[in-house]
This record gives sequence, C-alpha cells and structure tokens, in this order.
Amino acid sequence: MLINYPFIAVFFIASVIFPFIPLIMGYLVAPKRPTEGKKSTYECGLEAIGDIWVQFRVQYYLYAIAFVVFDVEVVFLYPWAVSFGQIGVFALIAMSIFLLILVASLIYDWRKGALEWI
Amino acid sequence: MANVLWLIPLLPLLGFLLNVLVVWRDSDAARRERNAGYIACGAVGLAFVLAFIAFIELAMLPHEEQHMHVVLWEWINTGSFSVPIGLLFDPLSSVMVLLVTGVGTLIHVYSIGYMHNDERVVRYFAYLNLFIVMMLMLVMADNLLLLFLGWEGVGLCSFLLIGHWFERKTASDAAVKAFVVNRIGDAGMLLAMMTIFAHFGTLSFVGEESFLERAREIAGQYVTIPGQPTWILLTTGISLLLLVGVTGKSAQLPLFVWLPDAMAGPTPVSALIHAATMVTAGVYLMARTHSIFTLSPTAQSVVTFVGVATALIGGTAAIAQWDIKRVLAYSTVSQLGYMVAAAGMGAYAVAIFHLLTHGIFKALLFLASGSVIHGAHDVQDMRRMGGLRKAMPTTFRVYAIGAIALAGIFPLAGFWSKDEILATAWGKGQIGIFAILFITSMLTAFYMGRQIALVFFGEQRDSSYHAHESGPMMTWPLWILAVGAVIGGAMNLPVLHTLTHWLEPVLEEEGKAFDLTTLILALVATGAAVGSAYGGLRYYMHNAHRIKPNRQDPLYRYFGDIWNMFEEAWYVDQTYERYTVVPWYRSLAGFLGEIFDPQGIDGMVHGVARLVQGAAAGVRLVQNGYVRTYALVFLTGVIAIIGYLVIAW
Amino acid sequence: MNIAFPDINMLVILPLIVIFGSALALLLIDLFFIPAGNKKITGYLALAGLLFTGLAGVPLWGMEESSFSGMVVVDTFALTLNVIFIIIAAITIIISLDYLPRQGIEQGEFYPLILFATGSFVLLAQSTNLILIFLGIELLSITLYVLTGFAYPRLSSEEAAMKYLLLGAFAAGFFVYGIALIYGETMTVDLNQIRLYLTELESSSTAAVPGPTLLLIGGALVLIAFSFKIALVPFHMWTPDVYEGAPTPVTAFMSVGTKGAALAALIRIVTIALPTVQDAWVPVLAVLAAATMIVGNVGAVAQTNVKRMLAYSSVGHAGYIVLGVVAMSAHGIEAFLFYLLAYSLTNLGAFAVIIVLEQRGESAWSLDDFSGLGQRQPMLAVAMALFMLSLAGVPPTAGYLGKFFVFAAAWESGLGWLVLIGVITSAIAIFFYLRIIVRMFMHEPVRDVQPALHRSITWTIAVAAGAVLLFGFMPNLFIDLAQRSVIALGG
Repeated sequence: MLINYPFIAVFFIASVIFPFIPLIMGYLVAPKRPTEGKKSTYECGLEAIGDIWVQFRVQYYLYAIAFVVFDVEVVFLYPWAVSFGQIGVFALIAMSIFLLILVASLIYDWRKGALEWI
Repeated sequence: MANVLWLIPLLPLLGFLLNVLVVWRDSDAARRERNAGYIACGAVGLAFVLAFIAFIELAMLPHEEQHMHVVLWEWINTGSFSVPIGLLFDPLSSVMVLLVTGVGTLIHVYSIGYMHNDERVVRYFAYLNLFIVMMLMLVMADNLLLLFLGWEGVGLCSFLLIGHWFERKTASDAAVKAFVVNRIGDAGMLLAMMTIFAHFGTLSFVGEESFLERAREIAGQYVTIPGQPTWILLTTGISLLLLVGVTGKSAQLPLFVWLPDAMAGPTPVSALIHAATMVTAGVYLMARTHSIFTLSPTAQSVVTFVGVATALIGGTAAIAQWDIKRVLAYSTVSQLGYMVAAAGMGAYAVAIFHLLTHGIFKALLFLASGSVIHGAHDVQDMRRMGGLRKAMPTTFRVYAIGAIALAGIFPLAGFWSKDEILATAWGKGQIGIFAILFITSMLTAFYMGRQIALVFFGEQRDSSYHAHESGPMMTWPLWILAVGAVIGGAMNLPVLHTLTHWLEPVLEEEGKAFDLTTLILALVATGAAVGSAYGGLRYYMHNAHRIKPNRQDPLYRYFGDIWNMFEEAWYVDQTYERYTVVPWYRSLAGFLGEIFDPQGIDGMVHGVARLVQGAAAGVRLVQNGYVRTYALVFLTGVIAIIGYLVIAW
Repeated sequence: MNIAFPDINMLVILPLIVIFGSALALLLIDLFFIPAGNKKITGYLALAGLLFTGLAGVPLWGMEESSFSGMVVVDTFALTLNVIFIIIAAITIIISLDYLPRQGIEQGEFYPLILFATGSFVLLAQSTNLILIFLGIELLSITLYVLTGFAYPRLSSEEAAMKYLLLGAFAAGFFVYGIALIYGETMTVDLNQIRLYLTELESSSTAAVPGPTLLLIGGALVLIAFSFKIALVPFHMWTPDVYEGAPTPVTAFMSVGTKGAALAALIRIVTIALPTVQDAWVPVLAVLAAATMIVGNVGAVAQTNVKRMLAYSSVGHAGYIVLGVVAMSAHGIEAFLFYLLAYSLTNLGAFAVIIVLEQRGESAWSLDDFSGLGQRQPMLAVAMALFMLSLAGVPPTAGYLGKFFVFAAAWESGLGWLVLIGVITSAIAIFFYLRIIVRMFMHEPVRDVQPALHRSITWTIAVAAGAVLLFGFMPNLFIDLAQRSVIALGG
C-alpha cells in the first residue's frame, strides 16, 4: 500500500508543473515584436463599450424556465419509454397525468403571454 | 335548589348580555341609563335572593352533609384528566356568595345614583355584572381550574373598570398596572396547579378523590431536583406558589402596589372589587386549600410573615395619605394583611370572619367616601375638605359608623373579628406577631380618627365648591351597610362561634373557649383603639389651621423622612420602577430592538429620529444588507447545535 | 400486454388528488373564464375546492393505511390536521376576497396558490418519507415566496419575498444535506426503516461500535430546516420582515398554516423515526423552544407596529406549540393539536380585524388605528379584545386552555424549567396584548379609520371569536378527535 503514495506524489507534482512548461517554453522561444494592434485586448472585432453588467429582458428567464421544465420531462420520459414493456398500462396512465400537468402549465404560460416575444 | 344552583351566576350573566346586546343600542340616553341600571341591579338582587334561599336550604341539611354540588358539563376530558364545570355550594362558598351578591346588590343600587349622567354607564353596569359572574365562578368553583377562570375573569373586569374613566391618564395606567402585576401572581397559580395535577391527577375540591382530601399523601415528600433530593417539601412548594397568586390578587407584599393606584376607578368599583370581594379572593383560596397549607409549617410561617408585614406597611402608609380613597386603599391592604396573617396562623375561620365583616364595613366606608367625593364635586384631597359634617349629615353618620367598626371599637363588627385575630396570635404564643398586629390596630384607629377629623370636622378649607348631601339612591345602601357594620359581629360571638361552627365541615376548626386572657385582651385592644382614634381625631382637629392644600402634614415635623417613607408605602413601588421596569422593560426591549430588529425599533427611544429615517426608508428597503446578518445568526445556531451533538454524543 | 395494476391504494392520496386537481383546474378556469376585476368568483370556486377536499376526507375517516411503499399514510392524525388546514385556508380566502381589490393587487392566481400551499400542508401531514417531506416543504416554500411578493408594486412586499427566498433556499440546503447524511448512515429515507435501523443498532450495540453520529447530525440538520419554517430562535430572523411585508392575509396564512404543517411533519419524523435517540434531540429542541418563547415575547414588547408585533408574537407562540412536541407523550401531541387549532382561530381572527382596519396605500399598522375602536365599532373591538386575550392565554378562551395543555404535558414529561420559562414569558406577553385592548377601550380615536366591514369578513370574525370562546368552554368537542389522532400515531 505504502509504495503507492510516492507514486501519487510524483504524479501530483508532475501535474502541477506540466501546465507551466509550455508557457515557459513559449516565453523563452517565441520572438517578441509588439505593435499597437497586437497589444490591444482584441486583435479583431470592436472595442468593448459600456458596462459589463448587461440587463437581460425578463423574458429570457421565462423561456429558460419553461425550457428547463420540458427538459426535465425528457429525463422522466426516457427511462419510462425504455422499460415500457415491463411496467404496462398503469405507467402509461401515470405518465399521461404527468404530461397533462405539464401541458396545463404550458397552457398557462401561453395564455399569460409568456411565450410571446415583445 | 341544588339543581338550579347555576341560576345564581347565570342571572348576572344575563344582565351582562342584555346590557351589552340590547340596551347598548338604545338611542335615548336617559332611557338607556335607566334600563341599564335596573337590569344590572335586578340581576344581582335576584341572584342574592336565590343565594339566600340556597343558604337556608343548606342550613337545613344535617351538619355533615352540608354541601350542594352540581356539575354542568364536562369541561375538559382527556381520559386521564377530567375537569368539570361544576358549582359547589358548601358553608364556605355560601358565605362568600352571600357577601358577593349582597354587598354587590347594594353597590349596584348605589351606582345608579353615583354614575348618573356618565356617558359610558351601560358599559359600566355590564362590566359590573360580568364581574359578579366571575366572582361567583371563583367562589363556587368545584375545582382549581374553574376557580382560576374566575380568578382571571375578575382581574379582567377589574382592569376594565379601573380604566372606566380613561380620559384621566392615571386611570388607564393604573388599569394596566393592576393587570400586569396580577399576571405575576397568576404565573404562581398556574405553576401550583401544574404541581397539584402532576401529583394528584385531579384539581377537584369535591369528594374523597379530591386533592384536598388526599393532601396527606404528599406529606413528607420532597420536590426532586437532581443533586438536592431534600431541597424543599412538596407541600411547601405548592403552598408558596399559591401564596404568589394570593399576593397578587389580595394585594400582599410584595405585589400590593397595584391596589392604591386602582383607586383611579369609580368609587363603587373600589368598594366592590378593591375592598369587599375580589381582593379577598386570595384569603378564600387559602381557606379552600387549607389542608395543603396546614401540612407545611414553613409555608405557614412565610404566609404569616407576609401578612403581618403587609398589615404594618399598609397601616403606616394609610396614616400619611391625603387622598381620601388612598387612605382607605392602604387600609384595605393592611386589613388584608390581617386576614392573611390569621390564615397563616391556621385560624382560617377567623380569617373568613374578618373577611366578611371587613367586606361590609369597608364597602360602607368606600361608598361613603364616594358620597363625599360626589358631594364635594370630585374633590379627593382631604386638605381641601373639612367641616363636611354640616353639609352631609347622613354621610357623616354612616362614615363614623364605618370608621368605628374598622377601628375595632366595641361592639361594632370590626371589634369582634379583629380581636379574634389578636387572640389567635396571643394564643399561639407568637408575641412578636401579636405586637405588630396590635400596633397596626392602633394605627388603624389613628388614621380613621385623622380622616374623620380632616373630612368632617373643622371648617371647610377650600370654599371653591358647594358641598351637598347625596340622593336617596346613594344613602339607602349606606344605611343598610351601616346596620351590617354595627351588628355584623353577631355572626361569630366569642362563646357562640356560630360562623366557626358553620364553617366546620370545610375548615375543620373548633371555636376557642372563652377565657380570662381573651377578655383582658379584648379590653386592652378596645382601650387602645379608642385611645388612638381619639388621639387622631383630637390632634387633627387641634391642628386644623396648619392644614392647607399642598402643605405637609403637621406630624411631618416630628417624623421627617420617615413620614415620606410612610407616604410612599416604604418605597416598594419606586424600587420596582428603578430595578425592574426601567432596566428590564426599557433597556432590554430597546436592546433587543437594536440587536435583533434594526428595522422595527419603536418610537420609545427614537421617536423623532424615526420620522427622519422614514424619508430614507425608500432607499434602504431595497438594499437588504440584513439578509447577511440573518444568515449569519442562522449559521451560528447551526454550529451551536451540531457542536453540541458532536461533543455531547 | 400486462395490465396488472401495482398494489397501491389510491384512496390514501385522495385528499391530495382532490386539492391539487382543483388547484390546477382553478388555475386554468381562472385563466379562461373569469374576467379581470371579478376574481372573487375564483375565490368562491377555491372555497368549493376546499369543501371537496374536506368531503374527500369523510370516506377515509377511521382508516389507517399506508401506501406507495410506505411513503404516504392516511390516519386520524393526518385527517384531523387536514380539517385544521382547510379551516385555515378557507378563512384566509374569505378575508382576502375584499382585501385584494381594496389594495389593488387582485389577481386570479392568488386563490390557486393558496390551494397549492394547502395541498402541500396536506402532503406534509401525510408523508412518512424524507424525500416526500422535502417535496412538501419545497412546494410550500415556493408558493409562499410568490404569495409573499404578491403585493407586487409595494417595495416591502418584494423585499420580503426576496429575503424569504434567499433564506429559504439556504435552509433547504440544510434539509437536503441532512437527508443525505441520514441516508448515508441508514441507507434509507423511509421513517419506519430508520427506526428499524436504530433499534437494531441498539440491540446489537457493543462498546466498539460508535453511536449513530452521522444520523444524529443529519437529524439535526433536518431539525434546523424545520426550525426555520416554524421560526424558532435563532432561525426566526426572517419572520418579522416577511410577516410585515407580505399581504396581510398571506401573513395570517403563513403564521398558522406553515407552522402547523411543518410541525406535523416534524412530529412524524421524531415520533416514528427518532424516538430511540430522543435523549439527543429533546434537549436541543427544548433549548430552542425556550429561546423562542423569550425572544418572541420580549421582542414583541418593543413593537408599535401591530403587524410586526403579531409577527413577534407568532414567534413566541411557535415556542409554546413546540412544547407539545418536546414533551414526547400522548398528552403532548393532543396539546399540540389543540394549541394549533386555538392559535389558528385566534390569529386568523386577529389578522382579519387588522385587514378590516387596513387602509389602501398605507403600510403603517400603527397602534393609533386601534384607538377608540371600542366606541366606533364596539363589537369589532370586543372580538379583537377576545383574540388578544386568547393569544395572551387568559381564560375562558381557547388560547388559555391550549397553553394549559402544553404546559401540563411538558410538566408531566419533567420539563419543569421549560414550563417555568413559558409561564413567565406569557406573563410578559400580557403587556403588549393589553396595549391593544387599552388602545381600543381607553383611548379617544386618534385618526379617522374607516373600517371596511363586509358581510363575509364580519361573519368570519364573528365565527372565529365564537369558536375561540366555544373551545374555551367546551374543548372536548375537539379533544376526542385529538385523542384518536394520538392513537393513530401509536403514541
């Protein structure tokens, strides 16, 4: 058992050092000829303007929540579909009720206008 | 009769309901007032008649079977624990019921005259009737829990009635004070009930299974506290907890401070609640549970000490008062101390005897003082009175009768009962207690002499009002009570011991034999009382010219600071103010506000500052820095709990 | 094709089906058929839903069964609680009917949300499985977050919802972690299985085997999460802010319903799963109860805002109710049920009076609003006085008997010191309840408050006041029920 620990220690040290080696190599080997263009944040595209805190429309979140709900639905549907042969009609009824509840929530979303992009 | 026993409390309850639900809505003020008064008086008067019939019937029964018991319904029934709503009418209850309804009726009639033209008179009579209901519940309860219901109920009515004239700031403050102080006593009562229930499994007064009959079972048992197996006797514990309740309700040391303030209520209320009935509930409770008190000599001596100390403090405080009602209030405190001391010495029948005579003559004195206040146009300061003898002859006569009765002068009611208490103290060989009680009885005679001199003799010192005699509605009850104060002693004359004998099935006491010592004591006591009363009368008649509004008492010259101490009732109230109310209420509540509740500090300290903060509130509300604090406190709790479990387990 | 149904008894979850079904249906009905500005109809329909839920309990009466692999039970304990929850929800809806339009925050979703929350109460009362209890707690929390923020344009309401959400999520984390630890130790989340595990451990216990530390810590974390819901000190910090900010009917609903449901689940956990280790958790809960009684009642003394005062008072009352649980006896559970009923009626009544006095656009629930109420609205003032006395525990109200029962139960279980604290704090409590009574009866009106008395709310207040008195004089009407519930719990 004990013999494994030095092995792990070597591994650990190597893993810490390894990422630094290419960086140091690059620093040593690469030629350095800086220009204005190269020193700017982005070599291409536009300069960033304004605050990095961007306000999103609340609608993004509504969409996201609706999406998550139906995404999770799939998590339930998949194992159900796979084992459908064994669990029979009862499971079909149960799953239908589950889907109906989700549909009700979708209807609610829709009717409330949460799905319309203003 | 036993079957309709419930009618006795029901009638005042009907009176209360009628006044609250029907008369209240009447738009004609005069008719409203008249109806309210008649309904209330009629209800209590009928209750008295019924109680009297029941009393006669009870007297007809053989001595051993003298009790009537009726269970209305099962109040609580949890299998192992059952409490009925049941009424008990035994010798002890019967005399209390007669006192409550009898004196109650007279005070109701008197109130019609006294409260004439009061704008909230319907409410007044409704509360008064409710009080009678609760008081009857208290004295007729067949178990401790129902007694407690009445106990709290009378407290509530007392609170409402003290605050009747709430325009006067003192009235609503006094009302709150009375209720809050009483709650401390009630806490003791509640704990006593828990203990009794835990050890007997019942709270009932009636029958072989009652805790009173089975009190001997716990004799010699100790309250078990880990580490101290013989800490305190169980009976002592229960008795002392009950005593806490008694000190609250019966205005004993250290909780008597609410009673003098309670005089802010209308005078008939003071007469009914704060002299004759409610404040004696504590004495009644001790008589009822005497079999527990008897088993604990320690508790009995504590009770005696409390009673004697209260009697002395009350007596000295009564000397130095200027307010006509405050004299009587402190006098009541002092006399209640007498009763409690008698109960402490095991003389429960004597305590009840004094309770009854005191109930009559103190009600008389209060009502008569109400007549004085009424006739003197709401003047209560005795320095502004004087010479009212001429303007109110009737009031003067009944007042004098009441005063002589209270002073304990032969042959009026107070003499017989007070003398019995003194004789008991002497008979038990407790000379120190006897001495203090004797001094107090001299003080009593002295301050009554002083009061008569200040109010009725000499010249009227303040001529800004024109005094007049009260109407017949008020004087008739006074005369009836005066008759009672004269002949009341007859109910327990030394040789006959009618009352002691009557109470024997409950209190198991025999009347003492009459011997020479008792006779000598009686003579000495009467002599001392007459002397002190005459001294008080003469001194203040002589020094009448020195008495002016806002000036010190002539005796102040001789006593100085001690007189101040008397006037402030030995500074008990101030001590509370300084050491409990200020540091605990003001600072602790403020502190908790600051620490735990930065948003909700009330205006007590920062009244004005809050207004300014209000403007900034809009900004601050959104910024919820507090959540951090909340989470931090939360986490502290988590760490404490987990830490405890890890370390202790 | 296999059409055999698994062995489950649908009757067990009948109340749940009815209440969630009606909530869901109501949500859609409200959406399609109820015109804006006439949302009271939704409220009436919600009441009908509650009625059906109550009726669904009738055929189950006396039944004692568990199903869904022991995850859900139906017994008298749950059904008794269901009755209380339905009463709470019904009163909440009735007092909201006029309140919402008056405050300009009427939206149809309010009533289905109340139904969902009530459904989660029922779920909590019926589940015997930690995961299911967590489900109930979360459903309850999420609906309450929304309901707290329902007075949308008012900042304090939004702030309250935000605080509640943040701290609630914090507490939920503890709950899940607690379940994980318990599962780690026992390999089950079923309460009965946990008990089996513990008894086996006890019988096979030797000195070498350490005690169930992991389980205890897990249990403590679960207890903490419940303490948050019940608002036990020191997990109560959110209470005053949230209770003050939330719309008043929601505050009323939360102050009684949440406590009841969370305590019901807690009772299931401690009586079914953890009775063998009660030496470990009883002291913890007892200390929490003591701290709660002290801080709640002393904190209330400083308040002049009536709503906030009642918030603190409800913290204090949580402490008293917990006494019934800490007693760990049949009397304790009875006392808990009775206290819950008495407190629910009283507190809902008191909040109903506040709602009547609440003016639009004012967020100050000042004592001044009560000044002189005794002259202007004598009956309303009398009812409020009765509620205050019941909260303070003055006889002959139901609140007094409730206190008496919990104290007696705790006393019997040898928790004398706790009773002492309870008695003293309730003596302190009289002070601030009395202040309202003094204001009503012993002060002149300070400002002109127009009480919004509609017939429905007047009746609610009258019925609540009547019930407070009735149960004060005839507690047996309910105690029989409570006793049978205790038998159902096997206590």
